[in-house]
Amino acid sequence: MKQYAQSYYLAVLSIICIITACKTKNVENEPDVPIIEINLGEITDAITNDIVDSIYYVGLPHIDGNIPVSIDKIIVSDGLIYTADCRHGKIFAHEETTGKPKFAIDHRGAGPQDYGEIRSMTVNEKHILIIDNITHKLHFFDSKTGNYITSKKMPIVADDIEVLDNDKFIFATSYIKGTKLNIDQPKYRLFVTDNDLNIIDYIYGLADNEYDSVNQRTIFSQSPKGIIFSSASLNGFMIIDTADPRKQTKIKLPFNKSLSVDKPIDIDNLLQYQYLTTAPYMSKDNLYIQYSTGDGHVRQNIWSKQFNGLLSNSPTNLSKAILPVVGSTHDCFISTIDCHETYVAITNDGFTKASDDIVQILKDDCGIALVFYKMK
Amino acid sequence: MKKKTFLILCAAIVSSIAYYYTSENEMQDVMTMRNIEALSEIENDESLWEYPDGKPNTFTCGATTASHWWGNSTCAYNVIICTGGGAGCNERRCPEHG
Repeated sequence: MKQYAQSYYLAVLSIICIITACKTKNVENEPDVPIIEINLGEITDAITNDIVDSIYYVGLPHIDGNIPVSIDKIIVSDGLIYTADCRHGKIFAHEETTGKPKFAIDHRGAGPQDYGEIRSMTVNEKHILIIDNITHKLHFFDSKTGNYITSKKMPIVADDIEVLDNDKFIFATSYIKGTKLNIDQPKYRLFVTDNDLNIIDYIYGLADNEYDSVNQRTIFSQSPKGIIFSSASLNGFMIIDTADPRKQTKIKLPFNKSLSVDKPIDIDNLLQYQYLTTAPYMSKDNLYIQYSTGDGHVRQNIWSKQFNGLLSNSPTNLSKAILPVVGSTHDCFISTIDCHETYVAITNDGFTKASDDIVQILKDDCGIALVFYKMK
Repeated sequence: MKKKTFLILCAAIVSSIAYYYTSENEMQDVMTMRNIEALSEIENDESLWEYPDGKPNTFTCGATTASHWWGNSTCAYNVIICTGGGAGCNERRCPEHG
């Protein structure tokens, strides 16, 4: 009996030694995700024109003298186009079909209805939601009037936000090596909260020694199939079901030399690796992706499900050539033209022309133009 | 008795090996962080950083650089933009596109 007790204690001691020597990792029931791999080969017998049905412009005139300088997010929702210029702390709203100005949110400051920054934003039926990591708040503005509503304390530092069903939110945080956050938060990529920002789920934990080598300008984008969640370290991206954020599909990209969270790479060596540089946009069965090729270049292409590969613009037929995409709707990709000089150059090469009033907006330097590519 | 001693020894060796390999990177990270922290402590935090509360975000410039506007190449320079939520950040702008 004594012998058995001693053996038992030895076994327990051994197990404890092995377990405590192992690295701790914040992995709690990570979702079981089906994986679809897509082909990134270049298609040579088709061009982007073959998947674009038509192009139309929407001119966005200035609002109180303000024009978006750099567009970080575009969301089209409920008849309005919301354009976020996060770098300059402004959000613009114009009517979707006419481009008529509705309002601008320009509240960077220290007042009770102000924000320290717009880290990112999104829109639901009632609100424009702004992440502000300087004041650690999520600010709510009325989505129809732009009026300030309220602010709620953020439990985490977050880099992007999207809206889930049933008044829930999903936040994404990226972790760069050497970066200290000024909130002590568990190290997860995704946080699901209720409407009061109480965290109700954590997804994709990272171990203490795991980091992203590089961020992306946006981590989420909206798509007909769900929320696209992207990270340079993911070797692809996820499509998240808005009804159940643990229900996801991974779209894997065939990167041969990809980034890994357990071996973060110095910023000056990143271009030797293949990774997505921004969240992809989806419209119908097409993806816009921008990625590092691993040989010092960054490319942007449209991936077409119909052709199962990457399409390029044709220099001999530029009528519907795709400019860099900054947003999408369920059936359109969206690009921008922000100056008359650019408009003249591309239309001289055969790009579809805009109406005179939109050309005038560009000529007078008092607005920008959005180009909507309606996909087949 | 010999058998028990052998088992204890095996467990100790296995756990030591596991601990060594998993803690090696930790040590490097700890030293890196200590260097960063020491630098900021010695030099006075705020003077070291453009944005003392900044969180560095590294991403690709992305401006179109193709020789023709319809080309699909974009600027590959990796910039650092500072946003809130961190403990110190210096920006690194694209030398060509800002």
